[in-house]
Amino acid sequence: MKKLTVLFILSFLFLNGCGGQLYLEKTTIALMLGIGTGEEERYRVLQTSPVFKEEAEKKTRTFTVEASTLREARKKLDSKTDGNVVFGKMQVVLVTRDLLKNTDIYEQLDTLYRDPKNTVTAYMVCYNGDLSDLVNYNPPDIPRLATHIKRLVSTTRENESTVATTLEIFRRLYLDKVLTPFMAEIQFKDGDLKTMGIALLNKDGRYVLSLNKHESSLILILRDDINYPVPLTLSIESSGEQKPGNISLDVIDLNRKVKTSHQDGSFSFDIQVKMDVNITESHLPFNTYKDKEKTEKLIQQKMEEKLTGVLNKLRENELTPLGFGLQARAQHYKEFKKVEDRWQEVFKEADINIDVEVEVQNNGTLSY
Amino acid sequence: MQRPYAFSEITNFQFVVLITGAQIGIGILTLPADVAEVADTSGWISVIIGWALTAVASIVIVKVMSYYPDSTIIDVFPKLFGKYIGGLFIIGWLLYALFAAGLVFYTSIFLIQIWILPHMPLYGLSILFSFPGYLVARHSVRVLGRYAEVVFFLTLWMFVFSFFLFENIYPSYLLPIIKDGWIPILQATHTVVLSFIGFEITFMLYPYLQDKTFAIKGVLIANSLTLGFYLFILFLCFIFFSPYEITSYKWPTLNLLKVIELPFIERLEILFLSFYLLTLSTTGIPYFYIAAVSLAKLFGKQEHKIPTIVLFSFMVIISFFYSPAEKQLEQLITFWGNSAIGISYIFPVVLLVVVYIIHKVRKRK
Repeated sequence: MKKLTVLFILSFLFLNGCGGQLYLEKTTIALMLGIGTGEEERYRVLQTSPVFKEEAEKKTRTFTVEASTLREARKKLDSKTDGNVVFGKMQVVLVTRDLLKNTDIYEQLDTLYRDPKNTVTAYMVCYNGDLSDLVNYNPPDIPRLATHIKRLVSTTRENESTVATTLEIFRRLYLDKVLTPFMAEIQFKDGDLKTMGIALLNKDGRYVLSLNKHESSLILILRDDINYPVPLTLSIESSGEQKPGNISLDVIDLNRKVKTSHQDGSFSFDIQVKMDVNITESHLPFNTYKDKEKTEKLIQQKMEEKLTGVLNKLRENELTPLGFGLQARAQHYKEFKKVEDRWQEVFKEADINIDVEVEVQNNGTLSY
Repeated sequence: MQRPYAFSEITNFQFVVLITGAQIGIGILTLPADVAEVADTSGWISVIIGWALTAVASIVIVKVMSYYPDSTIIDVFPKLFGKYIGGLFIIGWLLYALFAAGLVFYTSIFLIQIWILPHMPLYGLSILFSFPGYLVARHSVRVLGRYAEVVFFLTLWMFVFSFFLFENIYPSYLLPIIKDGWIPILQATHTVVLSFIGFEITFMLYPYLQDKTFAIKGVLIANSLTLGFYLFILFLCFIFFSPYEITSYKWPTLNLLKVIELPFIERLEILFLSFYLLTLSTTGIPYFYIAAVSLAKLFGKQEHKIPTIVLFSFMVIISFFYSPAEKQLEQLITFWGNSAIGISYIFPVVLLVVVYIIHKVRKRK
């Protein structure tokens, strides 16, 4: 009886599932997907994957196919590579800016969200350039392209100069009616890949405009989505007797408050930003240590001006990456519900007031 | 007086975890989406209402059983209604438990197929699930209690992972607390009570409980524990996913885990689901046990080992011929859910009235 049981249990080894092994050497792990406009078909899809064979000289292989959907592209990639293409370890999903301009990319990513084997933690990155440049980009001092891009984005994010939008966050931004999607933007500059800032998409998922790194920091401040310290450099213009000069700060603590009020279908927002800063560099023509109040006032004016500037830029283009609508929804739900489908317009018309309060905490080791 | 179930008494803690274990099943994976569908993020209020209803129903069950402290519900049926009508009731109870067991069994297999082993055939998984299931279910309630106890502690750590999510949450999603009035909240209660079902195994556990004075306290603690788990998951899902997003997932709790990325492990939901099978087993096994015991009772047997084998073989044999599509499974669950609400919430009240009247009448005689 016991022998029979053992035999019976051993027979499980021949169950169908155990036959479907997947050897690492036989898979092609897609670390990066690049999606661009195709010539013959709708999309051009580029995939880079690491090579695990000792005989191979190159560490990374790159494949390009043209297809009408992403899943179809995967099938075509399958036939080009010597193993099954696996999307589960994806690090980066790169979308060219040209494609983003005229396609709703969210709809195309469906398969990545639907199939549970795929990852949702890959970074979404907007790439301003031609996909074929990436194929040829193979400097000896850079590890693998996918990991390189991911690190590029995440270090820039640590400096608060861009965003690290994962596929999951992208979906959340896209589906939320009060938010519009955004992602990091990279491009080639002087032969090297470089993070440029943030690419902003509108509610239809189409590319609208890019922000540089300075503006990106301001967006992150307004979103209250920062890790300290935030390095900022402000150039103070001349006014009256005041001579021009630059001042650099580290924001070490920031408190953003959004007050919402509502009147006759239009919303107004009062934004209070309280920041504690350390001065890390000063080219101002007066003693920032003794004239603490003057310094604070200058910084405050400049910050208000800059924040309002970037805010207006967003509003003109009906972009709402800041998520003030979350507050509006929380506090004025009934009124909000009426306008939720055209929130971007409402936000454009809204009355927004930014107040900045600055306190210099530390002047460094110098007394001027 | 002789106590027929004294051989297999369970402690208070085992009583609590057995009930909680039976309650927390598939529900915790789908509840956030189901509730949000009807009541948006106000759905957590529905869960509290559901808990209150369940607490009342549980107390009613304990009250009924306290008239027969040494009998399970399947001993009570013949005592109340005579051999034949009582037998019909046992058959009903048997079918209900079997249906529940089968649904948990198939849904677990289905989940594993979707998320972990897409190429594994249904029968393969059903054979693999049947063996450990049988090994526990063929024993007495005491063993089930110990098993539930072990599983409870083995799966507690899973909550630790939620801390990784706190980076990306928006508590303001929860506001305002009552979004579209009370009507959707009350409507969502229907979905919620389904996730609380499982407490009706008190009907079977009561005679085994060592300290009968603990029974009411026990069911309340068990329900509150379940409520705590549900609220925790619900709040986490509601502040992580936007209200527009959450209804687009079938199993938001698993999607939540997909987001967590650790340097040394990816696809955390596989690890989670594998351990979650233990939790699912504490939902399914008591039902298998109940069905087997009822079957044994029908044939006048004391031992329920052979009925257990029969039932598990039945499940495996079905799996060779019939693999339910997702939609069919959903329809079956809806069908079962309605009967479960009847059996767990309405039936105890009716039974209490009947038992009360019968006892009054007998006393007068």
